[in-house]
Amino acid sequence: MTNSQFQMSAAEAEQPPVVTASGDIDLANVNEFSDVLNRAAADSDAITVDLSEVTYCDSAAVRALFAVAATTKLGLIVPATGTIITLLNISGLDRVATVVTRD
Amino acid sequence: MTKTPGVSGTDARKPAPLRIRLPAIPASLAVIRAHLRRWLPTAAVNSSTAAEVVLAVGEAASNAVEHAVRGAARNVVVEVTARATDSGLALTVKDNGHWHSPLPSPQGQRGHGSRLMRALVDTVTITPTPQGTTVEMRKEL
Repeated sequence: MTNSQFQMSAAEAEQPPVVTASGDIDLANVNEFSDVLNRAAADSDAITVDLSEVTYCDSAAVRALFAVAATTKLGLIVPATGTIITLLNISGLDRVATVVTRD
Repeated sequence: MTKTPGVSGTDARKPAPLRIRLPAIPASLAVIRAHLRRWLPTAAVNSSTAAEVVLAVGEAASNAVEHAVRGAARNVVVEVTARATDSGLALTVKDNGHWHSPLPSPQGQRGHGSRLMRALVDTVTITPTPQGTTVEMRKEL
């Protein structure tokens, strides 16, 4: 599961780079997630992170997203229902990132 | 809670309790979630409630692993239990490592873990002792 769970597409036209995550994100792979976020943010002042295929994430992923949001404009795409919305609310990540929900 | 002898164990609506003991390492977290995801439907928990329970327990277990990683050199174990009660679920996450109080991190994001758990389940009791930490949660169904 090293090369497919976190993917990055390069910036194109007016669009920032997009990091697409899937599956479960926890302490076991959050460093890999952070690495991809940092790579995407390295050459761009904005990134979009698509979490709509993420089946589990917790505070570990939130910390990684907060870290990248400190230096980069962060957009998040999240499932319209489920626990990720709760996670964003409680952590306050929804106040530092632009959140778009996807059904 | 009163238990009627001979009934509680055979009540078809109450599955056998789940008990998982694993080393407090990051790789154990996925194993804990997999067991819970299999067990919760047997307790007639619907999928959206199951996701809340998995996150609450996952967050507590993640804390246990982080204490273990940061803490002492001795082997730390995380134990997760789940059982059906008359009105819902009783969940525990126990470790034998040292609890670090939820001090604010430089960015102030630690400590969201327990608020998150409280948002997901009905009651959360965190009991730190010198021998480790027990998180007890109740989810009404």
